[in-house]
Amino acid sequence: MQSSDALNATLLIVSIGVVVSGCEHLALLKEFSVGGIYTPLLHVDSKIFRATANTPAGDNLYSQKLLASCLGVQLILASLIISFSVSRTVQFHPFLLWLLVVTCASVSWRRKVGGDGANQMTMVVLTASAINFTFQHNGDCCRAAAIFIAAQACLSYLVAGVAKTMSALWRSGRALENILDTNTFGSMWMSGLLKKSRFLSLCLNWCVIVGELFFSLVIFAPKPIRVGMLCVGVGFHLVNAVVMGLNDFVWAFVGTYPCIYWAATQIMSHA
Amino acid sequence: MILGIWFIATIAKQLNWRWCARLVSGRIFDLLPAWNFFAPNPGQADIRLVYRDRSESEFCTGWEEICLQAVENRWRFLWNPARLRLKALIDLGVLLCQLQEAEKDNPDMILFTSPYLALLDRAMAETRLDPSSRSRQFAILASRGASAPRSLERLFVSRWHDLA
Repeated sequence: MQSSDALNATLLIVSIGVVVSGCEHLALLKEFSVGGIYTPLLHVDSKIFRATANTPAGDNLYSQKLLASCLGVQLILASLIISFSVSRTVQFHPFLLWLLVVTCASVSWRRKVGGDGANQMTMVVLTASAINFTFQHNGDCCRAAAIFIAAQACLSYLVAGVAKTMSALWRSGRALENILDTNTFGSMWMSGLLKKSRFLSLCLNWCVIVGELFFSLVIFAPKPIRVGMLCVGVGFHLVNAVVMGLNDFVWAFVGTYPCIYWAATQIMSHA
Repeated sequence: MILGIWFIATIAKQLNWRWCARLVSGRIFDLLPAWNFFAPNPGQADIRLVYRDRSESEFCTGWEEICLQAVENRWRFLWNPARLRLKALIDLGVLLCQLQEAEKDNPDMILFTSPYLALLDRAMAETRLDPSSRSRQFAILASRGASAPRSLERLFVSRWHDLA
């Protein structure tokens, strides 16, 4: 497996997430107008907002139309990248990727709140890919981009694991039970199950903590263990999507696994 | 080189060093991420936005909820736009509470902050609860429990604002 293959696979999976996310934003477009939860008044603290308030420029900058246009461009570009990645018949111009990065960043800027880790990982992957395709004549850049994405993904799991280890609530085994006992990220049946069985709750909490803390070791794992760990990772994100509704994490984080797999094969082959 | 510097900057962001916070206050379009998911202090309550109206005779209606919590949907593992709405409410609620704490010596300042104005804008968009309503107030509540009985905690209550 070459680094370019890993990057293409990562870009393909993450682009699917971009399409889903873009459609979800479009479904909530009315929330981005005055009176919606994503009202333009979210930007009242910004110099740009104050400078352009009550001007046609300001009205356009924070308008639903401009946002819808950005989302439309985002969807078209992500769909093009998906089709190019699948067909592998045409090398797409880096300009397309940079335009996708800019539209995603614009949507993130306009949204201002409501983002999550999946949005962050998506931006990291898209920007790193855009840098790679800009310098694609340089083979080292391709390897560097794949290593960077793998490193960011491993860092994310490690930091999440460390943060949970530092939390008394997580160590006590009560965190999952309480998080899942909400309407926002919860599941009544799962929450009920964890409340009935203290042992199950404790085990699941510590499985999450240990899994996240040591996931980064996948980089140094021999192939069968590496594949197993990545499959567990896929399962973890799928369960989160089903139980907590975190559907965007599947595309953003599982999307990094081809780069993680490639980086691990490189390390093991040089070991 | 660019990627190396970017990675080091990401590590620095996670360590929460003061010099890093001074240099970079935000996430720069999500390019400088924070990777601590649901930790160390995970959200354990739903954030609810409620409002009520008041007439000229000072009669207050009951509290009504806005941005109703999404019912658990079997397809949300594929399609979950409601997550965007609810996450925005959580973020704004948390920011408002932090501002309330920060501005406790000068509570009027909170009226000019973006979380307050955004939530006020949302609340004012709702229809009048009573034809005689003349002003409106919103509140942020934290509710624990996915199903009844839930415990409610009042986190923030706004001033009264005249309805158009």
